[in-house]
Amino acid sequence: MSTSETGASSVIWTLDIINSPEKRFKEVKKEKRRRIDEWKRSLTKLTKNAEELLEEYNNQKDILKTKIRFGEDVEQNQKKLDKLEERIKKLQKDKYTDSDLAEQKARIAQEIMDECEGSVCPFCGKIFGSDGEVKSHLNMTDEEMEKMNKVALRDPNYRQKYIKEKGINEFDMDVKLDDGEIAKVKVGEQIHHIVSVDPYSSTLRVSRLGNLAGFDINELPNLTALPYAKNISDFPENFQSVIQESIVKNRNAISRRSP
Amino acid sequence: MEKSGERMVSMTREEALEHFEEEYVYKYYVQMDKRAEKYIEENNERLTLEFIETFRSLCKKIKQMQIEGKKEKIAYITFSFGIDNLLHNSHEYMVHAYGSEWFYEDSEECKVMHDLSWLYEFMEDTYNQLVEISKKYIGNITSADLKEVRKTGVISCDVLFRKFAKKAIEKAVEIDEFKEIEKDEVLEIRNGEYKGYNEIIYKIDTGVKNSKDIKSWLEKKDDDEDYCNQILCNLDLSNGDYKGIGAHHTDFSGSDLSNSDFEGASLIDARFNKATIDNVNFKDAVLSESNFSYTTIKNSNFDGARLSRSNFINSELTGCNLVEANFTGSNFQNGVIRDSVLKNANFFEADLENADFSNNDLQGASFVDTNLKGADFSGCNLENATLGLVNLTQAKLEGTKFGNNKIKKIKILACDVDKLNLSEEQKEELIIVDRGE
Repeated sequence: MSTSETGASSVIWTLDIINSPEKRFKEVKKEKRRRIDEWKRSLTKLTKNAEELLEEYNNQKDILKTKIRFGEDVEQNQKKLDKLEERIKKLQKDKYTDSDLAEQKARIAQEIMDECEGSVCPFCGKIFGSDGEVKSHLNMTDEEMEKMNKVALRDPNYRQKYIKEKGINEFDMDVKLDDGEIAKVKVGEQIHHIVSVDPYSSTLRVSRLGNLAGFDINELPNLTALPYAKNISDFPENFQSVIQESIVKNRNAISRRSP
Repeated sequence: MEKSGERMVSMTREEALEHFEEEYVYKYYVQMDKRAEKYIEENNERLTLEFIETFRSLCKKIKQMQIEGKKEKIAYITFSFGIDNLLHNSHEYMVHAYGSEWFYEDSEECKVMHDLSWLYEFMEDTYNQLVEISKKYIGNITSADLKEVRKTGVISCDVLFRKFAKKAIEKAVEIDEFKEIEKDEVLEIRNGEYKGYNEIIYKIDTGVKNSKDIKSWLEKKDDDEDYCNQILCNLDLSNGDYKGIGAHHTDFSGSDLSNSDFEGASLIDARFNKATIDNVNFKDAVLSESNFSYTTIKNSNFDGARLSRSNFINSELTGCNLVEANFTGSNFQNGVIRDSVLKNANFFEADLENADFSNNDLQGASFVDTNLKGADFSGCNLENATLGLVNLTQAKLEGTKFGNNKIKKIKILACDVDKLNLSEEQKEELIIVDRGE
């Protein structure tokens, strides 16, 4: 029995190797279901809290509206009413941008990592009783374990990071359509992750290996700018694919214009 | 204006941003909402048809893919905006169909687009105005700030769309193409941001449920359990202790809720159509936007309950305690309330057209901007009630008891004026018309 380069020191029975892909497939399916349910629950909680707050605001709004209709302190009450409507608008926006939700998603993902995936060796797939056992199995330090088991999450500032370093292209382009007409296309760029965040971060085994290898999902090597037609909806649907194709073909020209 | 211009020059970036948001951004988007809501109301039929057509094309696509074996049973349908698209002038929503693994699904994508240019025109117009205003802040409002401003607009559009889609989807699910697709036991139709915040706008749950299990699950009132958006129809949930439960958008239609206790419960947008509601305690419950249409409610307690914007069309309430209940904006068309106490109940902006409220105690109740066309208040006690901006000319007032009322601009038949027992000063608030005028 030899120790591999990874430091793995125990054997995996053939039967386990044959059985484990199927077992793993089932486990992953179960895990996906759990994550969807957790996420939905967090969304419901957020919605419910916002609805209760909105109900309070609406109640106050009704009282103010009644007073205004009755001619009581109209100017003052109207001001209060306007403020309340603005607060409702802010509340609606907060639901979408609520950091709690992002935190919750991160927490859930990390919990899954800690409770389930952390006790599995990412190299050989052997399941241990705890992450401590994985640590000794792989002969790793605490820091290495921590680095490996960190969930990869989308950095909300990845676009800015890319644009700051590489800039962004925007220009007009003429595309000859099948009917001989020239389409005046406004071309812009969108920043994308080359390896997509969601499947990467949810495929914990891969992302743990990526972490160990020093791969960061949000760093420049994994980001790319892809061209798109900003005014695509101005053109008939049957021409849209031709336009998109022409823009992509023209990508080299775009690259040359980079700052 | 000159003065405020000077002020803007001397502002720090933080002050400028705060000023811009407080004074313009939210105010302008609130106004945008009002214009868009009016447009939706005026064009609702056409917009609903367009919505149904998009839904039809998605269903056809699902069916085709299911025939080809490329799509499993559908568990999620989502109407979503992709923030990237919307930040760059795309006015279309993505409509996706997924199996039970939703975003984790790796099978072939099933998607159609829904054009919302009509809604985004309101946003573009408002956003452009805000961009112009931002220039007054002499460089203190950056393009990153304007992206946030646009995002606020995109979210406003989503909220408006959701309100519209919640109604339109009720009609869309009736089409044959939807009936023909293979569905999972639970199917959720959702709307919101793609892979971001989203809400259920419609749900189907065909799973068989056991009344006893559901009752004990509800009675657990566990904070970690999700009681919202549940389909709990045609179950025996009687004699249940559901005090303080939070079950927004849950459907209790056809269920027996007799002798149950929902005191202090939060039941926003819950449905109770044709449920058996006898001796149910809804004291201080929040029931805003709930639906009790075509439902008979007996001997139940709604003391202090919030029932604003609720639907009581063709419902019948007998022997109920409705003291201080808030019915703001609720619809009681053709509804009946008998032998009930409605002291201090609030009917601001409610629709009581052809409602029968005869022989009830309505002391101290408030009717402001209420539609009372054909409403029957015969034999009611309306002492101390507030009557403002209402038309009583077509209301039935035989034997109605008035006195000590708060009055503001009431339209009334000349023959009914004396019933109100008003002072000369109060009479100035009356618009007296002859019958037939």
